[in-house]
Amino acid sequence: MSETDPAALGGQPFANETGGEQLLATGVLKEFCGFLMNRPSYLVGYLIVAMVALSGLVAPLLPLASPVDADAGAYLVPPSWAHPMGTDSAGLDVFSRVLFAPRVDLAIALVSTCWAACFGSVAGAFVGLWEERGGIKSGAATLILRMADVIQAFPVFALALVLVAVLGQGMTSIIIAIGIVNLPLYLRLMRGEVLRIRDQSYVEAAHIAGAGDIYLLTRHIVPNAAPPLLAQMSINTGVAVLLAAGLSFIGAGVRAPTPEWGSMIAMGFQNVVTGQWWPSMFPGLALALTVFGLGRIGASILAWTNPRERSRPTRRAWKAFTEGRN
Amino acid sequence: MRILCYLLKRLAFSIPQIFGVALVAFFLLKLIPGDPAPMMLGPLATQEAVDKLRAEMGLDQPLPQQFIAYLDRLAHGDLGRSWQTTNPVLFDLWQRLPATLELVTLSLFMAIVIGLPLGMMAGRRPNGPMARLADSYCIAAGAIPDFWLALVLIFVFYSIFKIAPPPIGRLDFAVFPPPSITGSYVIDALLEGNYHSFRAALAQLILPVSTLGIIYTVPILTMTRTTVERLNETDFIRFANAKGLSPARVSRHALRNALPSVITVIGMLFGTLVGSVVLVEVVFAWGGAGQYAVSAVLNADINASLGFILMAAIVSLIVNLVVDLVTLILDPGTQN
Repeated sequence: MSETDPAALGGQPFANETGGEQLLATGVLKEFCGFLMNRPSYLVGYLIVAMVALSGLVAPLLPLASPVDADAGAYLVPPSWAHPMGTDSAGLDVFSRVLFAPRVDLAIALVSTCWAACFGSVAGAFVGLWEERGGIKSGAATLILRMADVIQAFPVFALALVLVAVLGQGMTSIIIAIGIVNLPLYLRLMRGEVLRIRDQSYVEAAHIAGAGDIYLLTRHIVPNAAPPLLAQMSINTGVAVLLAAGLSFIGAGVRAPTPEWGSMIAMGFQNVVTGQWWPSMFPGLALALTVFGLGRIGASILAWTNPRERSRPTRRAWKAFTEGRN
Repeated sequence: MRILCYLLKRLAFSIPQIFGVALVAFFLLKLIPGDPAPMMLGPLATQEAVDKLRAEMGLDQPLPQQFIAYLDRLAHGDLGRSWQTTNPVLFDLWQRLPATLELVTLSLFMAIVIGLPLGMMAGRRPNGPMARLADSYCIAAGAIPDFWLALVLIFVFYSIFKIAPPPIGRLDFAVFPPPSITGSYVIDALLEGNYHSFRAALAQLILPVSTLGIIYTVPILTMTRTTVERLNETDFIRFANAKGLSPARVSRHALRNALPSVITVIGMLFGTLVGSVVLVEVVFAWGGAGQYAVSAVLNADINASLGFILMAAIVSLIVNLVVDLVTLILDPGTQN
């Protein structure tokens, strides 16, 4: 929040607070960490996601079996010391592939969520601000909303599938497809937030004082809408991981031998029916764990913004309090 | 009369939506790189032949005119031909839709049977054991991919315990399908009075329906729970509690008032499921519209792929329409 455009600020007295704001930000961060430390059910989400991301980052440095070169002769070996999660029907080491997969799955999910959130929330913010301004602005807002309606008329997975078919298979297509099906979510979320914040008296005061749309958005609306947006993004990244894995599972996404959880589950499918569970079960567990972790992160942000939830004493705090009294 | 008025208004609102859906489908069709005419005729076609076919297909017309021609074809139910099956796409979809709808409907039914009572109990006592159970259920089921859960269920109940039939579609090879009346094997077998094929069809349904039912309970459970929690704070529920009505009675009052929002969620879920069922259909070789769509997508069968999403969008529009009507009947206040 820098003061690059003094004209937009209109020389308002509250423009010069950068130092105080930074202090506030670190304070909030500290408080949030304390909040997490007292609630292990949320903390575990952060730990899981950190672990998954880390495994994707450092996998190439670890002394693992190659995730794409088969170990000739070792087909469908049950979990053992040499292959902690066994090998699949092509002789590939499942453990190393599970660790390498976040490089694809998490990357797709993060990139698609980020671009959808950026475009969706910016569009949603302007739709919210412009809806009742009349003229072209209202018209544009209505048009964008109707477009979101049309996208949402299609079932999510079906639309993503057909988008991949039209765009051609590949990582870029998956990222575009998952982003498009998620755009309306952010648009609606941000629009709702803007409608809520727009009518607060401090925002109206700024508007009357001559503040421009950009100033209103960056100064008042974005900071207030950030927590629900971040929570939605976190949960949505989990959904995006599921979508990407689902697309790869039916063969419309990332192709084998690239290590990816969905296609690994698909490869092990026939073996599961005949009783060799390991090629499919481990990637599925990793997938479920990742989505679980992202969901907990989203839930923690929502709980943090809910004053009742935030101030609720945890069991540990309560115990310390009662013990201290005795 | 009022309902009729509302219905007309609601129908008028869905027309632009159908128009938008068709526009998106047309746009997607045009987004595919390459000219379809030379592709259809092969590499040896002469330029005149290509031009002639382009004129026949209307590809030499400007885009708005092409769109109007496309709408005209849609209105006549012409979704083009699938090059895989060589049948008209509408015919293919019409044949496979009952299998998908049977699976979706039964799964939703199971989700309601688990989600509604659990959500009621969790909502009535927000700090009780049921609420904690509901919490854990939602967190767990929300993270599990449905296609993987299907595999786990197959592994446990077919590969290990051998109680479930193999995942080979809607009916065992040894059983003859009943004569097609509604398209749903279970209902057709019942109508025919054939107990043997009824049982076989039902057995094939258990695993896929459980998979989807377990996963898609979550939204119903959450919605029921939050609605009932909110109702706990209302005057009429407090009054009912204060005058000493039995908890079951109070729950019944709460349920009646929670129904409109729960039904709205069920309607939305139905739409989502028509798309998401694709994955589970593939696992169980179900042979429904979803599996048809997957093979269409993988083999670049564009007419069939677009036909599938058009159908899915229209099914969810219809379901939403029905849901709005039911909500109106349950709660006349929602009209405005």
